[in-house]
Amino acid sequence: MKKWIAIVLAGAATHAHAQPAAPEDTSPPEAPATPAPAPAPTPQEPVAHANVNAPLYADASRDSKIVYVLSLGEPVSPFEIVGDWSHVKTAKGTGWVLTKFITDPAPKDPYEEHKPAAPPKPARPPDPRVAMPQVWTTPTGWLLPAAVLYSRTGVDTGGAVQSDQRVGLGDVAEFGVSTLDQVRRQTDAMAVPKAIQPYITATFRMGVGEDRLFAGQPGLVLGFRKSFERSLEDHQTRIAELTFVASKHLGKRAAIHFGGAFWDAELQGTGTDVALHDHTVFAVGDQLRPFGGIQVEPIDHAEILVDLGWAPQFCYACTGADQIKLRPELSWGVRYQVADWMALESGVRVPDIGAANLLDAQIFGQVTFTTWALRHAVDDLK
Amino acid sequence: MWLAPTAELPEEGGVLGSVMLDRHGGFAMGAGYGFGGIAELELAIANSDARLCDPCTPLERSTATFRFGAREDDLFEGAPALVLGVEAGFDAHVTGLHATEAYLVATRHVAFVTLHGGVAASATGHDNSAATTLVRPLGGVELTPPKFPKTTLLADVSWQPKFATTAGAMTTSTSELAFAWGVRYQTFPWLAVELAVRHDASAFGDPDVLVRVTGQWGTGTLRAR
Repeated sequence: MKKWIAIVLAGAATHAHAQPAAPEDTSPPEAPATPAPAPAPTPQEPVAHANVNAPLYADASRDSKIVYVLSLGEPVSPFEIVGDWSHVKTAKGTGWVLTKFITDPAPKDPYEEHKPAAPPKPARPPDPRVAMPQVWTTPTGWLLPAAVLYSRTGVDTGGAVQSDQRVGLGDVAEFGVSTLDQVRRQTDAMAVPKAIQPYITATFRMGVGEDRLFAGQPGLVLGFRKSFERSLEDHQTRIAELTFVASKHLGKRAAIHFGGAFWDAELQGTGTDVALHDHTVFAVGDQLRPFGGIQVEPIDHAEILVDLGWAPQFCYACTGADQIKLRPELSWGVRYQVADWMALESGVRVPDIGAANLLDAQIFGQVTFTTWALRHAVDDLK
Repeated sequence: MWLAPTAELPEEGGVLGSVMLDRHGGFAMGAGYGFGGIAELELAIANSDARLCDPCTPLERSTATFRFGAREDDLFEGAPALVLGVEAGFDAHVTGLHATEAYLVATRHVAFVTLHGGVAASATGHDNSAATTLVRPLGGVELTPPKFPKTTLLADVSWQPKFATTAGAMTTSTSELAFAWGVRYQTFPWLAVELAVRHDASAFGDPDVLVRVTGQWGTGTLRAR
């Protein structure tokens, strides 16, 4: 037994002596342990980049120890800014660098996250459809909404160009300037009447919208239109018209317009000076005329419109009450709402339906634009 | 059709275009636009319809036509399509020749036959004379054999403007009967090719042969949805 113990002990001693000696460590002494590198900026953290090889300091001072030198383009994550210095986190640690040496130094404001979000602006409701202030040649009892701009331009087979520009004023009035081709002249009673164009007029209308005063009340508008003096063929002419018109919707797809006009017109030339208000030549009844129109929408966005109005006709070589006449004008056509802000219109206009002259018929095409842009700009300013 | 209008209107926002040539060098070009499916405005230039006599030569005219109406069965079940149209020239202030036509025409499909019929009031004149107004019927028929759905046989009759001069001075204007017949082949849903023969009353023995290409496309709408 003692012999086995001695052998085991000898074996253990031999094993102890047989262990190879640890190799002599010849490597240089280990550098002091460096702090564990900070994790690289995460994709959610704001990232800037060094725009030069900039030193990263331990403190926000050039006198402090340099941690290491940032390489050009090295990503850093700024999380604090003090004066000209940014406290950043890099893949190799944290430190301070002059803010001018990094791009987009926008550290997250810890308070910004907790700031309550601004309430979203309420969405603007869609603009309502504009009720047109004009049928074809006659006005309606509807006014343009405040600050809404209206523009209509057309041509016809008589070679005339018409234009009408208006703006709504405070939902109770509107102002406009237009060029007409409805005013006609004859050199004598047998000559074919021809349009005087362009004939420029200015219009002011004011009134009350439908159902504003009481239920079932039609739209009511008082309007005045006056022309600039027009010289042609050694004659000067002027016109003015005072209108009062009522308009009423009949259900959702039809409307009717009815009104009266008080006209004045003047013709001056060599040996001629006559006006409708001259009651030695004309009667008051020669100045008064009814007018009206209807509109029907059989299909969505397509309306059929018919109206009957009046227009002055001057006769240079005529005498007495034949020098100025008001002639009835019948128009019919279709308005097609291509877009909410644009309508294409076309139809037929007979300048003197009383003469029943088919050759007088003109075909016209026009485009109408309406815009709420000015109204929106004014509302936004408020 | 070739001479007589029909009561068929283009669809909403539809654009029509046509070009026609005949063996005498006559031509006609037109473009139309559909207003909401209930109206159409068409602009055309042609020298194949109106004539200036004597001797008779083609008279080139630029015209605009406004048509509006109701489609088949819109008014009541079984109602034909109805269209009221007016055609006017817009170069009369240059040429001094006036020709305006107003018409009311109805169209009805019956099996594979389409019938067109109506009445037209035509007024012709020139600056130095009173207008001449005539009221005349117009009509046409189309036959699409069921075995050949892309092929249509057509025939129509109408009156065309005619101006007459005497010793270089304008004296009379009237309308002259014309008759045309031929075939239309619908090459594509949007394109058709037509071939026809036209007879004018004053030259019935010397007919004209004409070919026409007609296209129709939709343009949609800009309206907010």
